[in-house]
Amino acid sequence: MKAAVVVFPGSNCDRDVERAIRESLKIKVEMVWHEKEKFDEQPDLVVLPGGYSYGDYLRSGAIAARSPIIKAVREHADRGGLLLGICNGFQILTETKMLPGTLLPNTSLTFICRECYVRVEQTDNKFTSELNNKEVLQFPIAHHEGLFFLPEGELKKLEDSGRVVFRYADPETGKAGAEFAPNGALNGIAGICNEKGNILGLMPHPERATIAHLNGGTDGNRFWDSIARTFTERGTC
Amino acid sequence: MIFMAEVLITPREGVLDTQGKAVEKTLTRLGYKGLSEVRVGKIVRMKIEAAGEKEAIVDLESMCSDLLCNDLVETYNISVKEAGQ
Repeated sequence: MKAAVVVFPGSNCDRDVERAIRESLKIKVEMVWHEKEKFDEQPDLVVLPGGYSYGDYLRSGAIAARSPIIKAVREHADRGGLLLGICNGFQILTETKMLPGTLLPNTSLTFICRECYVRVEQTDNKFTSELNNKEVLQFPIAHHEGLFFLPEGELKKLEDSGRVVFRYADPETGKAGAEFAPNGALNGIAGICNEKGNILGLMPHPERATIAHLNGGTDGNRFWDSIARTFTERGTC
Repeated sequence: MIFMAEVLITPREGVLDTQGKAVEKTLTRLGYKGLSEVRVGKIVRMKIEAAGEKEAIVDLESMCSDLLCNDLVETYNISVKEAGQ
């Protein structure tokens, strides 16, 4: 199995993701500058990391979504390869229209950086298939534009098709929904996937919850392990 | 011909505009009365060379759909005038 992390000017979670993947999946990760037009080796997993690509100019992720590497990223996903966007990476995926919706400024109009809980809403995709349905995980958040938005009709379609993968939740009761979203995300949506289940975007940072002695906890390891096991079972790892 | 163009981009009606809300709340706090539906948008201004005004507008509309505007949550208005010598 091979993985690639795309680096944009302003990415700041690229090395965290690289370390998390290297240590969990025990594989080498190619760091790919966004101006390249293709990957050196065809990867199985491509990650668009968090950060402030292009300083969030115009709209978060808007300029990165028009980078030269995006054509290769799209072809990778069209072939069924895994494509993961975390935080700014999620914003980029919505800007490319590979995932629906958009991320608006938090209702508080503040940057929010703190512990956060999400509930696994479905496991029928390539990323969370080894997690337990409805289990609650702690992944930190750090964003200013995290309010997931879709017009009403399209939001219903997304919900009805079961493509909400993570929803903000209360760790005590296990309940999830809009009232637990720190950013005002509609229906408390924290992460969604495409119809084929090979593209996932989420605002929280599983790569920041992988080292026990740091304050982010280690729930992120369950997420990376789930991806690793997906590959092991497919015999490609 | 060279034109001066302005693209005004604003949040669509019905889309939560947190900046607009905050500005409205603050203006009201400053004593301005009777405010409602305050929206905050952005202007992209540029010089553009085109055969005529119509062609310039076609180019600008294409720019809006390619990059400048996210039609899911934003709407735009283009104005063009011939640049002075």
